[in-house]
Amino acid sequence: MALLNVTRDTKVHVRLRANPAALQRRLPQPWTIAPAAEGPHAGANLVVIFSEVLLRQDAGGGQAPDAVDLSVAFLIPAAHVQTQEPASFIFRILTANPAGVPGRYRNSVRATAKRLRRLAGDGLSTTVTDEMALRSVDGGHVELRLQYQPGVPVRMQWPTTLRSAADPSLVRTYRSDALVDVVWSEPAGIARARDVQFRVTDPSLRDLFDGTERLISIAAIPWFIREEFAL
Amino acid sequence: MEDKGGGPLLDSTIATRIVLAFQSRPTALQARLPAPWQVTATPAGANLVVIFNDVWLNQDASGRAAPDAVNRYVGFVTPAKHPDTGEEASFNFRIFTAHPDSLPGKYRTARPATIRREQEVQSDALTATVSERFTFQIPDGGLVDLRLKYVGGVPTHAAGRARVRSAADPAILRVYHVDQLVYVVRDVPKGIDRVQDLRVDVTVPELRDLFDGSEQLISITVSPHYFRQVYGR
Repeated sequence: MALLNVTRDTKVHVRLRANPAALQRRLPQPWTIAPAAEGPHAGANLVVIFSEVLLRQDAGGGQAPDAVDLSVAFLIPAAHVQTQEPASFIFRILTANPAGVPGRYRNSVRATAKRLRRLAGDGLSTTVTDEMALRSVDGGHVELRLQYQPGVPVRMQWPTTLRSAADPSLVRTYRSDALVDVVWSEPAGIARARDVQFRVTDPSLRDLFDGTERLISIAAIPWFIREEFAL
Repeated sequence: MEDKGGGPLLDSTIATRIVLAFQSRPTALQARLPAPWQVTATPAGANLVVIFNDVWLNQDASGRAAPDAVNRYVGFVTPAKHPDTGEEASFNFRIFTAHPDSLPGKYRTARPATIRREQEVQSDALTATVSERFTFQIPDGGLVDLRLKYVGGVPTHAAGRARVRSAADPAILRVYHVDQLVYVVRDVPKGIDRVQDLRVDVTVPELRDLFDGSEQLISITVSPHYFRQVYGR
């Protein structure tokens, strides 16, 4: 495997249960949707990832063209019907950095993006308010607002295989190292987040965000390092 | 457990930090060092470093959350050199911390404080404006208060190591292996200044000789993404 880049960023993962048929339509054959079976994200079949990239470096350690960015990505956890190989399919990205268009997955669109993050701490207790809004040039609008009390995060290291829904031959392997704080989870009964407002009004995603989608979990990831490899 | 020269892995920390480097009175710093260590300075003249820490996670050597897993503290450090061996190390001579499990701490220099912390990050496309505030109220009197507003940019990635000893017990040596992103928001010798607002107040009686008005700020660096592994015995 060849290292392509290293990204250091902060993220918020929003996991939902959306219309399975609408998700399946976005996957190439012979892949099928594979919702999380257990844990704090059980039942989620759609992952929305808000990222603020602090620095992306190329394989040589230089600044990548999209060295900094604000973006939101939409992913479907999936599995190969025959081999059961797991992979996440990226099918849409809104990005503030023009160098990220059309992007490594060929499905990024340019967007205006704003984020306002406030932290108020008293001793060891903290309240975080996070607001992010992205508006794409093709009429999409994605907005997240939440307030939460961080807990002690869990350090996790895991590999992921990412594929492009626009071109399934585009395959990337990620090695991630992160602090993960699940601040809201319906399956796990975690409710440290309040005032959650998550809105997607995007013509290309209308079948997924038709009012029947259900929030499963929200994870704050204040520290994230990812190495990206090509197979 | 891997030994990287200073001994086995002791602990690791993931945090954000703000580092202020000052030029202060060498005699006042020297008075805090154990013999025969001699206070030194960076090429830019900084001999006193004040580090504001917002710790997301402290882990022990096995990866478990440490008793002071989440913490806020400010550390005071001076660079020094051993005249006989030539060894260079930074000496930690005081920490004020919010966490009772950090007392007296790994350097035996920590004292309790009441802490307030505020941060606002306003990102518009590819530019961020950041306001930071740390206020440490010391029970014995005085405070350490930092207010900083700056414009971010593209940070640099820096990896390196540092030897840190305790001024309370110089036999305590911890070797830091650091991987971080760094914004240099002010560097007086280099003419860098991304600061929009700054106020630093240190009115703690025991630090009065270091912050008597003659100290000069040399630089401010911010690490929004900081990872450290510490080795030692």
